[in-house]
Amino acid sequence: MKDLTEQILATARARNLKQIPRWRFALARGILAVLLFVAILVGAIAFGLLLESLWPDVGVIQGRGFKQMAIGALPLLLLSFFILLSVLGAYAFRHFRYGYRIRVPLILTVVLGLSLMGGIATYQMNLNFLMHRSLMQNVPTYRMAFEGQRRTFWVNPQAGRLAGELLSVNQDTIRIRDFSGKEWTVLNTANTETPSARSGSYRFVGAICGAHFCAEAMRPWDFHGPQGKGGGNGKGMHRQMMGK
Amino acid sequence: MAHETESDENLAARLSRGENAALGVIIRRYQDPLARYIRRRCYSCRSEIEDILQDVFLRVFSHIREFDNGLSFSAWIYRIAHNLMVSRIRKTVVRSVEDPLDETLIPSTLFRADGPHEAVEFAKTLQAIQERMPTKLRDVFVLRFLEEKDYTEIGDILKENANTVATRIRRAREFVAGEAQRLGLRMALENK
Repeated sequence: MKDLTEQILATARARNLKQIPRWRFALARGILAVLLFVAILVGAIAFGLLLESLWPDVGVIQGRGFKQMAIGALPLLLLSFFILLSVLGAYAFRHFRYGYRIRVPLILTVVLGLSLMGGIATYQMNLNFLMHRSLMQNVPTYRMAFEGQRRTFWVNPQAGRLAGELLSVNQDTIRIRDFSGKEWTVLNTANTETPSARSGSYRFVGAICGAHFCAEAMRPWDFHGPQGKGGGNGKGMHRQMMGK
Repeated sequence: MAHETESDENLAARLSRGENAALGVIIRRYQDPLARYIRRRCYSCRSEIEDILQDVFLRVFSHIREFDNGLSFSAWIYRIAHNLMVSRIRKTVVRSVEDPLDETLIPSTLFRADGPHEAVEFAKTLQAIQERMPTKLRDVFVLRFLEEKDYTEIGDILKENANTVATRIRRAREFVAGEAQRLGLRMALENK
């Protein structure tokens, strides 16, 4: 083969080819780093929201097929979001300068692990609650998907779950209208303390007994939010509402 | 002034400082090995080899500041060549073989022919086997058994981790060994 040196140098001159400055490559790597950071951060918030929607229920539904209920209650939107962002984070990591040298499952594990730890941290700091509240207020799609799925899961009296708006609260009975519009009398069979509030939404775990619903445990519908941490007793909003 | 015996990494450093003469040394050093690599990997690229090489060296010139010493220069330039070659292959849907694998492209460590006729036959058969091989296996087969690159360098060229490279090499070896046995071909794949 002929020597291509002159031909190539001439082409470079003719095209007035310039060397791409170092900062452009650094910028590309920086964008990847930001993408990775954002993916982990948002993944952490999504996981924190998953915790937010599940953890308060652990005590309520413990010993009642929690695993089954937990899987059923997992907000699919958040779960999909969490997985998607972890994959995105792993993609970003893989495209770092030497990211390809590390096995994809390991990268994915590290990114997932960081998101999980971040999720626990943001849950502790209530950052995910603030994000969730903002999303609920400002993003109709999120509100519909999140609340819709959660309501469908919780309004299932045959499976021992009921949720709805409080109509009246007495010592042993609570009147509610569930999210499908049906009115119920909830009997406080386990002598749990009844809600001190007279309005708002609640969820109950128990069983249908005759024409009523016998509740063994009850919780406010909404997440506990930051009030539980900053506001004083550290027990969360539901406990405050229940007068503990 | 860039010198013919200078290391690749020094030449790269000189080029990134604007000493364009270093590119001439790089071209003279890599032109033939890269042309051979392209011929070994792509039997339908003969008419385009010069174009591909020109693109490779122009890319080296424009992207030299992206190169860093965490990678060998050889792996970096082979990666560029590999990517540009694959991109050319993808652009053309149907291609005919215009540059069959010939005996000069097969290292003697892979096959020692008893005579010229046997070498030609071996090359033909090996080409037939390669054409039947899945692309990913073919990539590692060419780099490992024909280019005789080590695992780390193959990983750096293909941007794959060492385990993936090792697995693909094992599969490629099994594939070729199976085909070779079927066709009655002797070759030395075991030690690689």
